[in-house]
Amino acid sequence: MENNFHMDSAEQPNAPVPTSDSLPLAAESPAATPASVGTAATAISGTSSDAFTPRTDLSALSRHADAIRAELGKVIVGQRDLAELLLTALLADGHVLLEGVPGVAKTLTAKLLARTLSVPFSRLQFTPDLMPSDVLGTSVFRPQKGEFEFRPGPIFASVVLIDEINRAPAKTQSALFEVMEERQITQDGVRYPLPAPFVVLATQNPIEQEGTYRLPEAQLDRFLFKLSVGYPTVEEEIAILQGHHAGFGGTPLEAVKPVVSADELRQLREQVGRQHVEPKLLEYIARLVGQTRAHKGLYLGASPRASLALLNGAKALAALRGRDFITPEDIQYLAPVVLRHRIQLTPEREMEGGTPDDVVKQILQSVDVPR
Amino acid sequence: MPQPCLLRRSCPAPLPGLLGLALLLAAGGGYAQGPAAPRSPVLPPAPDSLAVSAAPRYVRLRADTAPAGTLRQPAAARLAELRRQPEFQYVEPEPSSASDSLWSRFWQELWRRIAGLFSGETYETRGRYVVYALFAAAFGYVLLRLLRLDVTGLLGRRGRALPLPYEALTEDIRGIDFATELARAEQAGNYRLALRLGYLQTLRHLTDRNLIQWQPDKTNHDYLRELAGTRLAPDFRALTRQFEYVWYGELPLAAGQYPELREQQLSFIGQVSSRLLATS
Repeated sequence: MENNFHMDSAEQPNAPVPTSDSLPLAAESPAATPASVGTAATAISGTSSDAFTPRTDLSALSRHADAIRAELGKVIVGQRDLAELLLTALLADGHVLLEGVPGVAKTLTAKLLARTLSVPFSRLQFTPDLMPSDVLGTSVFRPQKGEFEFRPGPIFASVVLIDEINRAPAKTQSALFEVMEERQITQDGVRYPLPAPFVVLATQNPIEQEGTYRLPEAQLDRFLFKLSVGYPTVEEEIAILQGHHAGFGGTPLEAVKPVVSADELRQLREQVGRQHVEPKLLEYIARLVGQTRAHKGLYLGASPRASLALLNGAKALAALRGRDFITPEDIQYLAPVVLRHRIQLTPEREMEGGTPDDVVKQILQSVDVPR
Repeated sequence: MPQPCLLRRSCPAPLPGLLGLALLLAAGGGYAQGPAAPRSPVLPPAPDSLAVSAAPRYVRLRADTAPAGTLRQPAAARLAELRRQPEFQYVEPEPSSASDSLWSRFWQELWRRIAGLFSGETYETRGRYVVYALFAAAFGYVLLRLLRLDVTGLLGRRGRALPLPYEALTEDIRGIDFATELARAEQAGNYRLALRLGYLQTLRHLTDRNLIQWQPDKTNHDYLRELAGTRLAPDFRALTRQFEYVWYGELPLAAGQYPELREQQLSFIGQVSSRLLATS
């Protein structure tokens, strides 16, 4: 039996029943050991359950994930689920939109995650007067050569942190459509592919905040996850204060070191792509996403890209949980973060105080789990 | 001889020029007639109408005894001619029905009937409020349909999911004949299906003992959480792991492995049935 599993706190006795947003993401426990079995006549597990181990070696993935978690934990207090979902998106080759009120370490978390990867990093502060050429780059005339030369913009990096993405108007947002989906820029008829990996980590304040624009639906659809960053608990906030008080400003960001290279990340992603998916689970994903298009509380349902996002995310999550196949648990866990920014509530549902997460929860309850 | 106007304010506008001329003539006349006694330039005061000596004067008018004039009538032919002139026709005459098309007559009739709803004796009574209510309801319904609003939520009802374009496969574990289905799967050598049926059988027994609340939308880990704290939890976790690897993971299950796994399922079902270990 492999020892890289550890007890899922959700399954520990007397653990509170978690919601889909608060479910811990630790790797699931292996079969119970004989000592843990009660007085049953036949102990479950034993030698037979040793056969139930992943067919692919996920030890490298687990090791790298642990290293990233450890590096993030040097600075970030709490936000464990956030870090795990960022890892999931990283392995699923997806972009992440972080939403939260100011001051909850959205930018810091994204910046630190970028620091754990030894890949080119770029940061963009979106402002209302930003132009598309400020993001993508522009052609400049070189008098010495007598010709125009493309000068790449800050988007040409492997990890791009776009801070306050909804402070820029729709014109600038549109500049990101091609690069986020196709990982390339087309300028003056010339295609400029971006280096792999390419991940956009964007932060934004809620739309109710002053000076923000609503992101276009087409752009929201290009984000794999939309993660809501909440306030820390009292214990976590005390830990933050203690850390700053003791260290006169907290742990410096330079303490976080790169632990995963671009080539290693590519290999891990290939491994995630080979995860096993039972056909009934594909149907389950299609039904969940299909329900968003038939729900009376929604006027805009999720696209097929959402189905792909749910599938790829579930594969990465299953790998992080130590499995080489996905389960309905993975899909249900990721459904809110995959669907919440891709669906639009009807005005009357919005007036009733409904949220996209409520609708996703209803949909999850309306579709039978395949087993 | 004109009197010179000494007070400029009391003179009319053309008087200043005339005043100069009058003074000139008066000076010339004096020289022609010889020297005369100088007259005071101050005019005598006007009679005071409020004085006691000023008595009111009345004017007596004579009654008009002249005979009344006769009304002249234009000639009948002239009157008819004037009436024919368009300048004197202040109301447009309605076109003759003979020139109306069938379509225009239809609309005329429709509007006449609609106007009739708001006139007549019924309209004058309280019955008109019924007509108002009917029209308001019809207008509201059309508005809701056009805006595609759903106000059923205001009455306590919530929107139901529209039918999906594919058939929803539901499987109620209470309706499965496990003995028959298991025997069939084992006989066919489909041990993967047999292990699944055995796991569903354990869920059925847990449901019958009210140890879990069976719902089709729950995952296996939901049931694990419901069993948390009981002595059944570790064994059920192991069975769940077996089921997930064989069913969701499609791990090959050899014929030699199945009997032991089935034995573990039967043992767990025995524990649940005996209720010896149901709760800690």
